[in-house]
Amino acid sequence: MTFFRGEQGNVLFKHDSGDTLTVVTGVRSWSLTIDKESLEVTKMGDSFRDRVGGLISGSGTIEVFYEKTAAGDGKGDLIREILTTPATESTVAGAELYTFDVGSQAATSEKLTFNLLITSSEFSASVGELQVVTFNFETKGAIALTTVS
Amino acid sequence: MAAADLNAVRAVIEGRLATELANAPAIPIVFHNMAYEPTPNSSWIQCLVNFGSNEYLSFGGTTASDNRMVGLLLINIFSAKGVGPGANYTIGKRVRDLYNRVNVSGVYFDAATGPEVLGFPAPEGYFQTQVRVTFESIEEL
Repeated sequence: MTFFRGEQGNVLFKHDSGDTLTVVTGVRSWSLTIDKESLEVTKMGDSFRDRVGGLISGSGTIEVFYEKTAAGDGKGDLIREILTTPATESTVAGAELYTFDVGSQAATSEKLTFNLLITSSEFSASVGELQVVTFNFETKGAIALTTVS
Repeated sequence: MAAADLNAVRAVIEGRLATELANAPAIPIVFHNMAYEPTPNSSWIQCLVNFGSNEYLSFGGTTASDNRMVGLLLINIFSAKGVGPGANYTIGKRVRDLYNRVNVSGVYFDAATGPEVLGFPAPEGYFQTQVRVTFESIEEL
């Protein structure tokens, strides 16, 4: 069994279909919660409740240290994504959250891949601390957990 | 990027003090691991830079990652005994103003503490105060 530490993770982000997934620098943490609806299918005469899974969805956060960026790089696009108006919003803004990046996202790395919608971005500055931006997102469509081959 | 050059960070911190104390009225200064024989009843300063704990800042391994390096700058100010604290505090202000909330060459200095009077001067025979400033720098690997 091999365990992983948080710093072995990584985050890649792409803004739209013309973009490629690019490493987001200075990431402090990420989290992804995957929910599955629970549908009850208990029948008359059953003694125990029965259930089947329903639709699957995900939501999570990415925390980065704020730095000056430009649109077009991974972090710059992520920081600006919340300001994309619905009219110009891409349907394929996406991310890859690496649970384990062996280095340069090479073979045997593991990742969660999905498209997403940034639903809120919290910019914060506290005296004596590095400035942090927290992104909250919801997934769109399928979520895949894969090993890079 | 590369691993932090601690000697460069030390040079930034010590150089700032050395430059200021070379101005009139000049005050002798001694750093870590240096021999010094103070003149009785004179004013002089001891500057000690200590690197402390490191902590993770961002994802990554030995490249494309960041660490926070924290340190303590400890400055002992010695002045003549038995003549009040004024001369010592005058030096203390010069020292404190050099670092208080200053950001220079990637080294962030926090709010300075002191000058704080020490009850038992070392070496004896002087009036001693101490200014302490924690600092941090970001190591970009």
